[in-house]
Order: sequence, then structure tokens, then C-alpha cells
Amino acid sequence: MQGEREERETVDKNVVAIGIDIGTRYCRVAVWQNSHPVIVPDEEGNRAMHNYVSFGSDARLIGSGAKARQAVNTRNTAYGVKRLLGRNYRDPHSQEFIKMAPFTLISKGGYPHVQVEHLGKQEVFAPEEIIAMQLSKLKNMAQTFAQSDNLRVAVSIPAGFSALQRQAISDACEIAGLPDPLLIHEPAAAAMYYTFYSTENPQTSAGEKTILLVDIGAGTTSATVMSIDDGVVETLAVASNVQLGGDDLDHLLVKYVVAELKTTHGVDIGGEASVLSRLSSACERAKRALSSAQTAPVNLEGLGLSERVQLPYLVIKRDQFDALCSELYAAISKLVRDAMTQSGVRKTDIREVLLIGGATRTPGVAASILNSFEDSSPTLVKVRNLDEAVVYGLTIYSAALSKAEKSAEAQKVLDEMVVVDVIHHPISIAVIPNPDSSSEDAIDYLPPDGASPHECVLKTIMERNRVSPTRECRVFSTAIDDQTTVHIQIYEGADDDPDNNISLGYFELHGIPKSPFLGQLSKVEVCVEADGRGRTVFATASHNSEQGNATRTVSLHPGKLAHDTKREMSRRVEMFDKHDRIHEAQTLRRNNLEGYCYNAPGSIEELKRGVDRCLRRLDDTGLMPLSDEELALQEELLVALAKRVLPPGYAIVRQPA
Amino acid sequence: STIPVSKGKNKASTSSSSQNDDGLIQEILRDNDLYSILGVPTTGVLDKMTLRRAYLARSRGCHPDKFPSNPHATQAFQKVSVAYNVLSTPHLRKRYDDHRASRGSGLGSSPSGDNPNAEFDVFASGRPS
Repeated sequence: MQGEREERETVDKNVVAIGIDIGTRYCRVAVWQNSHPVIVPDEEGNRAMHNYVSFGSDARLIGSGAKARQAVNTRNTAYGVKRLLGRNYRDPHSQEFIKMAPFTLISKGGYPHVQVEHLGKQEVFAPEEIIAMQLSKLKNMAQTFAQSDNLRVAVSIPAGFSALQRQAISDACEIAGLPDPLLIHEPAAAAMYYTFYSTENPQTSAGEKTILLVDIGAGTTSATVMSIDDGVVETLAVASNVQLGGDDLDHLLVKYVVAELKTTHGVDIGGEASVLSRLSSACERAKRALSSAQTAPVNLEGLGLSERVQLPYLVIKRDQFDALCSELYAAISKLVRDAMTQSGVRKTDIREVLLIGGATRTPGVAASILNSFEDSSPTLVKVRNLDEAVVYGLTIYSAALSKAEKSAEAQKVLDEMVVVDVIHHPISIAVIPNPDSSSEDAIDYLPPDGASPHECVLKTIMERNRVSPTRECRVFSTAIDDQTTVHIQIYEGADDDPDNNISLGYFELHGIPKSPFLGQLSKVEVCVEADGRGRTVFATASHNSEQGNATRTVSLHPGKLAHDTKREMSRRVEMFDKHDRIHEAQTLRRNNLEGYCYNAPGSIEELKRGVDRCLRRLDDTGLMPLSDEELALQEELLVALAKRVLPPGYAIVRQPA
Repeated sequence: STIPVSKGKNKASTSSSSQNDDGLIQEILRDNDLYSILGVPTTGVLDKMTLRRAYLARSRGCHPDKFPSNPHATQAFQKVSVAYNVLSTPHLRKRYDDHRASRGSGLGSSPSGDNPNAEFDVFASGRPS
């Protein structure tokens, strides 16, 4: 009994560990099954789901169906909205996206929202809601696949996402009915995948090794120096750019083709959103082809330009493409150098370079990464499935931390596994600098309530790449005599100008007792704590002296949607899901009925012939008694034919004799 | 007859390991000495590898991911990471050793507020307020 109870504590057969990778272009879901992560295919059998949601007069389509409908439903098909998460409408990156997008984006409360026609009504959705719709579909796919709705979910966060962006992903999960997901940075997830399968193979797991992992997705790029040892994955340093990715390679190619058409054919398509969107797909195909070929055509025939451009395609050579992308390659190399410098690891200590993400297939990308190693040449490891490494890793870690069923060997490996991650952005406090900054003991001042933010500069109290969860305390002082309130503003980022950073929040500590000595300022200690999953920052300000104490702790959730808003969004997502399910069932029923109507005349004809055959047989035998077997055979033949005449869903059940 | 034996073994090992882990967290929280927080000897040569191995072992033993239901894991892990940081950085370790010597062998002594070397007082910052 005792033993059984303990087993139940560590294993719960109903718990299913899943991983969801939300990329810029695709998302994927995998389920832990038979001690391995398994990708759940969509209804068409695709292992990755396009990040497209298409609205319309009948129902939504999510994934490849939505992408297929985009051409005829351009204004009502939203895609790529992950790029808008946690950004306000006026943000230059939002604006760039809004200009390119062939669907309508409006500003609501200062944030970009998607505006579409759906079921005959105008609807406005936050980017979080669009992502939640995709997550909800992925969740349902996983539930159906695993036949359980007790899911333990790990969700990916790109390296370098800001606090606002992380919060938006977390909110989207909650809206989709995936509360409290495990948020894992993409490089850490990919390293988990790599570790899980390399520990299985004893030849490759000889002690601790330091690797460089370069992850280039469609919209985000990161370089991470990591140490891997017996299942412990430790991030040593990460450098990231959340505005750089494989899509930029496509854009450069698009720009080139547009310029080429303008100069040599006098055709300017620069302002035609739908043509550009189709050209972008054509350029992406050409880019992919260039990964294995020296030249590739950009197909121009499908762009709808046949009357203006008498050219079926434009040939691009690989070195031409590399020249176009040289600045991007340089940006990637810069990230690699930055991560290496931050980690303090020597180039010669990097044993392996792991490439993840579709864009690393471009030969120029891999070459530029290896070039930054000059003399030392680490092994270039391309994991077998560089697109799926992240979702596999998420699922593995989700299984490691949950009660999902595991084989004895897997349990042993997973028990050893842990990800030690770092904070990807520095955390700073706004202070009035001490004029006597030459002295090492100079204590900066905390501004009083109502002070102008422009008097302040940011003092970094946690450098980036610091192991998380982490906590740091600093002592500051009040700025003026008799100051009883301090204003504490906490930022993510280290730019001197507070406006160039992300505000995590602010609060005031009131009731600081006045110092009895004239001209002596009061001390205030500020402690900041970042939790391991990058979801919450706690801040405490406290004053302790003989004159009295004052303490205040706040938890900061910048950009978090209000509880009621999320509930309302959740309700809407559920409502649309339900509508789609009903619509899907109706469509199926209708199609079945239609199919029946087309097939029925033929079936009825066959039944008639069968009846005639049967009658002939009975006539032929005259009054001779038929054997039971023969009668049964005739009956069976007729029933089988009669069954085919019946509409779908009806059945003939033979009464037992 | 072999089955019950192996079952019993499994049971003993899993239960004792999980108890040990929770115990380790408690131990680290109570501890005020960076060497014992990290689980390394205070005497003799402490090379990089030894420190690293100790750090990785402790990470496994108290990372909050591994103990979602134990709210103290975060604090314990923070102490371990401070200990590793100080002991593996030569000048910080030297200062800590000097401070430790001046404090006498007062292992586990409560930190005093007017301690000039308060920066090593990871315990104060790790303690719930």
C-alpha cells in the first residue's frame, strides 16, 4: 500500500506533458508519449502550423487553412502578430509591421489591434487574443491526440523578449485556457533537447562542455553560450536581437527584386501590399532553394503582373544573395561576439556550435558564425531537426517537471535535468546621481515624490546575464532634508535615458522618519528580486533606523491585461471556438448529405440490379428447397446493397434469428 | 520473490532522496557560511572544477524548477549562486576569506548589522522580511 501511494505521488497517468513553441512564422505542439516527445500534426498532417488566423462570414480558419484562404480573404486574415506583442502602436517596429500588413491594424488604448469582419460584424482583437486563438487550437490538438485534458504546458519565449512581451505571452496562455504555463527561453529549450538525446548516447556525453547555440528564427535571433553537464544546462551569457531573423533575409530579397523591376522594367510595385505579400512568398522559396543550389529563380508569374512585366522569373545567384545579406550576417556575428565576451569563455573552449532555427540553413549564415572563431574551429552541430528542437526541448522539460508517465531510464535522465537560466536584460532604478561620483562610497539619491523623471539617470542594479532567480539590494539615500517619501521607478534596460527603457513599474515609500540631525539624509534600502521564469519582479523599499521603520513590497507586472479584460477575451475565444466546432459539424453533415445525393442514384441502380438477380435466382430454382446457407447468402447480398442506399448515419441492423 | 525486494529498494531510495532534497534546502537556508552553502571543503586547494561540480550538484538539489511546491527553494538557490559567484572570483573570495577569518570561526553566527563587510551577508538579503 505504502509503495503504491508513493508511486502515485511521482506518476499520474492522466497528466500529459506538452510543449508549445510559438514562433514568428509557425507554431508547433508536441506531447510526451512513451518517454519521448512526439509532434502533434494538424488536421492536414502538417507538423507545423502557420501563424495565420482567417476570419470570415462563416467561421475562422487557423493555420494552413487560413493561409490558403488568405489570397481571397486578404483583409480578414491576420498573421505574424507575434511581432506586435508588448509594443505600443507608435513603436517604430509596430509601424513598420503595420505598413507592410495587408490587414487592418488600429490603435486601441495606444496598442495595435487587429480589425476584421467576422460573422457579419466588425471585430477588434488584441494581438494576445489572436495568439490565444492559435494556442487554443494547439491545446485542442494535443488534448485529442493524448486523449486527456490534464495538460502540463511549457511555452517558449524568444531570448531577449522584454518584460512586456513575456507578459503578453503569459496573458495569451491564460486567455487560451492554459493557466500557469512554464515559460522557457528558446535556447534553453533547444539545449534540453540536445542534452536529452546526447545523454542517451554515452559516447557524446563526456563531462561538462561549453557550447555556443545560435538560434535564428523567422523574427528573432540569439547567440547563447551554455555549459552542459549531465543534464544541467546553464546559460552563461546570451545576446539577442528580437528584430532580426530569417524574414529579414526575405525582405532584403524582396527589396532587391522591387528595385530591379523598377530600374530595368519601369514597373513600381513598392506600394502594392498584396503583390508584395505574394512576392515575399516567392522570395522565401528562392531563399530556401539557395540553401542547396548555387542559383535559384524568383518566380514572378504568380504575382498578377503579367500585363506589366514580361518576365517569368528573375535568377538570383548565391553570392549575389550573400552580398545582399552581408549586413545581416554581420549583425549575427556581432551577437556571437557579444555573447562570447559577456560569458568570459575563450573561443578555444567552445567545443561545439549548435545551430537551431530554419534560417541557419542558409549557408552564408553558418559560414559567418564559424568565421568569427578564426583559428579555433569548433564542431558545427546541426541537430537532426533544427526547426523542432525547441518544441521537443519544451516537452522534455515539461515532462521532467511534471508527474507525466516516464520509463525508468527516462526518469533517471530527467531527474538530473535542470535549466539554470539568466536574466536577459539588466534591471535598473532611476536615481538622482550623487555629484561626488568620484568617491566609491558615494550613495545616489532617490527622488522625492513628484520629481521630474528627467532629473534622473538609471543606475543598473542587476546586470544582464545574471543567474536567475536572483535578488539584489542597494542602499540609497533621500535627496533632500526632510524628505519623507521616495519615488522608486524600476526599469528593464540600462540606457541612461529612462525613456529608452521599459518601465517595470513604480511605487512610493511613505513615512520615512526625519533625521534628528540637521543636514543628514535618511537611508533607504531597495531590494529587487526577479523570479526564475522571468515573469515577476518584486521590489522592496525599506528604511530602518532608531527613528522608525517603513517598508513596502510590490510585485511588478508591467503590461499585464486586467483580470476582467482577460476573462472577457477568454469568453470570446471560447465562443468562437464553439461556433467553429458547430460550423465544422454542420459543414461535415452538409458535405455528407451532398455526397449521398450524388452517389444515391448509382447505389439505387445497383440495388435494383441486385433485386433482379435475386428474383432470377429464386425463379430458376422454382419450387426446389434452398439451403439455409444459400438463403443467408442472398440475404447478405441484398442487405449490403440496401445499406449503400441509405443516407449516412443510418444503419440496418439484422435481428438475430 | 525478487520483485518485492526491488520494490522496497526503489521505495526507500525515492523517499529518502526527496527528503534529502527538501532537507538540503532547509540546511542551506539556515547556513551562513559560503563554503558549506556550496558544500565544498574550507581547507585545501579549491580548484575551478571542484567548485563547478559542487555548484552544479547544488543547482540540481535546490533549483526552484525542481521544487515548485517549496517556496524556500528560490531563496536557497539564490544563496548557492551567490556562494558560487564569490568563491569562484579570486578577489571576492580573498575578501570573503579575510572577513571570515576576522569573524573567527563563527560558523552560523547571526550577522550583525554594523558589519562593514555586509556585502557578503547574503543571508540578510536572502531572508524573508
